[in-house]
Amino acid sequence: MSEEQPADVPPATTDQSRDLDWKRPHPFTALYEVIRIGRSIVFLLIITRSNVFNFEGITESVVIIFPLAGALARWLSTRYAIDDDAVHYRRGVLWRHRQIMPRSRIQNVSTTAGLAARLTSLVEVQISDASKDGDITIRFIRAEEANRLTALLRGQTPSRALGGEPHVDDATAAEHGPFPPTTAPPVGPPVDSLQVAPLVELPLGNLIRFEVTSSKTVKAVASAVLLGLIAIGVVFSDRFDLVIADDIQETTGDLSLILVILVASSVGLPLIAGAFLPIERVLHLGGFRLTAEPDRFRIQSGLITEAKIAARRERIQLLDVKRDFFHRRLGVERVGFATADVDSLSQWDINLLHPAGPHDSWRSLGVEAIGPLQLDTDDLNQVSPKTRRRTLIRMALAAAVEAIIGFVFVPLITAVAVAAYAAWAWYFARTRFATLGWARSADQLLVRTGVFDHRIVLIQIDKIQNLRVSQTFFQRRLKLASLMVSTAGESSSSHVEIIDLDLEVAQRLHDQVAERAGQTPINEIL
Amino acid sequence: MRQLPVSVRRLWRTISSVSAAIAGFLLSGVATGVALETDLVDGTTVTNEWRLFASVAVPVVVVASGTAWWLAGAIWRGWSFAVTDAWLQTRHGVIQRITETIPRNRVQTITSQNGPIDRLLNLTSVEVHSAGQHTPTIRIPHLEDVTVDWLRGELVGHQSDSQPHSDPPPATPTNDLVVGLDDV
Repeated sequence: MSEEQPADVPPATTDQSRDLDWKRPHPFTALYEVIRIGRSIVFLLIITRSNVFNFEGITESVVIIFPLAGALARWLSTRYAIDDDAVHYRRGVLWRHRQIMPRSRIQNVSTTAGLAARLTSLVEVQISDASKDGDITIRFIRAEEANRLTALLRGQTPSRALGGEPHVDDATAAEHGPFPPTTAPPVGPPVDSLQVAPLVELPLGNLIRFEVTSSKTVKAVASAVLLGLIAIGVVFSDRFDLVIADDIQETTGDLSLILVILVASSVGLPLIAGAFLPIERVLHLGGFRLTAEPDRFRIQSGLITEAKIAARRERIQLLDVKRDFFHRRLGVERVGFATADVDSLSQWDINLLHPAGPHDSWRSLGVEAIGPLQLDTDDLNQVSPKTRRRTLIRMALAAAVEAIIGFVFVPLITAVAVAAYAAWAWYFARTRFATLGWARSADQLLVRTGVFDHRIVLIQIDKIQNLRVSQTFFQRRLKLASLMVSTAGESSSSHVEIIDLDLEVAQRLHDQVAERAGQTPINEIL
Repeated sequence: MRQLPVSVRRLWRTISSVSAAIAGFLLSGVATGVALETDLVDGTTVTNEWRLFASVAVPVVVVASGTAWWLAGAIWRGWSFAVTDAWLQTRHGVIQRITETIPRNRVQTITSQNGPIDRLLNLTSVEVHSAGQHTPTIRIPHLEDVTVDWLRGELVGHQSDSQPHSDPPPATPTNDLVVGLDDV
């Protein structure tokens, strides 16, 4: 095998970073670093002062000198610079870290200062973009320098940045200097929600019915009942009578009371476990109310703790419709959305247009949220038929090892189990193939996933941030591929995967979608 | 599509084969010790314990380091990336092959990092972030420093439009982008 270098010799570009006006944080930062690692030094000193290590002062010197030198080196190596295009940041001695954030991508500039920093008139500046872990934190610089930085960067910050405005605005800076209040600005003017008729109001009974019949609840109850039955079986087994019951009787003298408690807990605990999930969700989503304003939705919900969010329509990345197995029989569905608003309180999980709407209500709600819908479930294309074979192969491999072991010990039971499993696998593969589907129009992408619980996702193509085509070992053998599409939504459901497309279809869809997504400037979608 | 520098293949092969050799050596020592202590091997027939250890360790170390050498080469051959007028794309993986794409105007931030060994070889790893809390970050490991500078310029330096302002570094088009177990 040749070790020749491929002919990819880069051009003789000059490192532009050398021309930048690099600045170093305030020397106080070095002291801060020392204090930050002080606890580690104290801990190590305690160990070295013990009798375990005794190197006549050498260890203590190393334990003290190395962290101090590290803190000093970290301060010396940390630099930042701003040019016309980007914010540059670098740090690290052994492992050098360098970051470049284009100024046009800055979403937020905030300053904070702890007590020690305030006493020294120093602040920490955090420059945020819309990515997960791309923030730049400059710790610490003088307040005047922080004000200069924020003013400079604010001039380039898009007016449509997440949350509407940067944290530090002119009025706030003038009033509070380098220490602005940490509360986020309100999203839009306050509106008395009573003045606007709600688009969706959810009766509590409907919500309870929806939550009790959700797949999560049914699975929790089924698992708990199974555990309960196993417990009852153990209690009434011969082995229990012979061994454990005798011990209990010898210890307590009253076997019947123990048996009653055991059986009651075997029945009661599953019921409590099954009830916990829907109760939590009902408390969370009770009193749900969605109000549609010209530019945003206002949502409030919660029976005990009330949560309110405002979601700008233009920041909505996708529609997310969930139809559980039993919900499809009852003709109800949950319609949610993913938004790029940072104050959408996605951790509350109430980014919903309707927590328990009637079947197909997503169409009318979707029009409210993202405008005219270009696609419907009738337009869905099926994925490759080879997905059935892949599902069967995958399930067969998982069962093969257990079957081999089972045949050795209990051949008859194993044979029955294998036959039942094969029938189940065939049904599962067939149902999965019938469910999976996708459709694409000029501006939208519709995807249906799931097997028994369905998820329908409608994505605006110009909101797409990232595409990923993947092929597992078995997919490669069958010339299949999966396409994952990600948006900038804050919730965990901000992406969707189209599974088991023919490889050619996946590549063509990837190219078309990537090209269309790249035509829209990012400041029009964030 | 551009492959990673050849020095990366040497780096990966060296690190992985040395690591595998050390692991194989230690594992052989433990296995020999356990075999002797548990009488799995008849101690009376063993005239030289070191010879027994060597007879276990040599083949284990050779096989482990050879496999690691081959796997590192396969991973290197599977890695490639491209910057086009429209997007940044990476392809990688041996068992599972993955193609990741970010439209150029979706790039939020670029982070680069290099450790002491990277710097000896003039290599730097790059991470390209796009918007979203749950959006995957594209990571290109061990690029040559000049390529990293060019990549930064392409993705960050020209935000006003999405067209590249400088010619990409000359590269040999690789037709073996989907290299994996089939090809090695």
